[in-house]
Amino acid sequence: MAKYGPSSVGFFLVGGRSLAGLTTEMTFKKIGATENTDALGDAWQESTPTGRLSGELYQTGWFDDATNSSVAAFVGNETTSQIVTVAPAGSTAGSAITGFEGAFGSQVERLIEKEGLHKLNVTYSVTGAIEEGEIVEALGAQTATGNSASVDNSASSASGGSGYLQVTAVSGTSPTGDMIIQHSADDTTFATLVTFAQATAVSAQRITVSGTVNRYLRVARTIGGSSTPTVTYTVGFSRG
Amino acid sequence: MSRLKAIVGISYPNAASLKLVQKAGGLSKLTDAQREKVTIKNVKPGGFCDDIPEASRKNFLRFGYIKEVDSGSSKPKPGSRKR
Repeated sequence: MAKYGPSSVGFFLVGGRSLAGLTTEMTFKKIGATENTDALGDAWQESTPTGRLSGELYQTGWFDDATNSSVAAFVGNETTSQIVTVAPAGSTAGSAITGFEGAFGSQVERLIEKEGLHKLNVTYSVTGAIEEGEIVEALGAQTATGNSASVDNSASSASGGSGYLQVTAVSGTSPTGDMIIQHSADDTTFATLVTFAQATAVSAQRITVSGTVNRYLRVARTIGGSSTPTVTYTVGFSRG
Repeated sequence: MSRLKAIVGISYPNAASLKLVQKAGGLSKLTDAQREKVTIKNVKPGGFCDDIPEASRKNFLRFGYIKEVDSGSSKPKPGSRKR
């Protein structure tokens, strides 16, 4: 185990928009619901978990209306489900990510002070799961078709999982990115696990799969377009 | 005669490359120089992959990523032609 600081944060991506550089603080938590089960005759209050989980996410940062910045991510999108991924402990393949299944920026607050820059603070209502996973391919600009190096998870798992794709930038003429997560039992032969829809713009996707997920994961990418097409993206996976 | 058909997209080294990959301990263990010598075949879902090396074939069959199909199954049976 290790301790982490602000510089450990690899990325904070909301619908493909990279917001780490505009965020000063964030909190995300999983909450296990409980019900009071004490009754007559009990001296102490008693709570029993119901088995139901929920999630919350808060962030504070700067108000920035540049293209694909904080305003574009939230203002006007208060009721739009966003795919959010955070890399709290590094940005390389194999580093941890936390993914949020459907996060609505339900409270978007612009703070204007006498002294200081305008702030944009967001409280998210997370409608689905908060998933712990890892980076399969680090955030980076890709200009050619190919495969990422494989990530070794030591063992296979049996309960499917969720694949996350965050595309943070595209350039060139008619750029396209077809990203697939492949898995393997032996790091030699690979099969398709998750097929993302073709990416042509800043965007994010989350796709779930069921069944066995083999030990090794990698990304196979096909980059299309002309005039040096470039797709900047990261892919993560959370085992179920 | 049966053929091998991919159910999902698959990727595998050809027989000559497989030995090199196995000796290294996996694709991620290859050096850049070794990687240049390796030939990987990619087959899309529904494509045929009869040239899968035996060792890889067993794995793919076990996980259900490929299946054996009768290459003659799509031919009309004698006497079934419309008149």
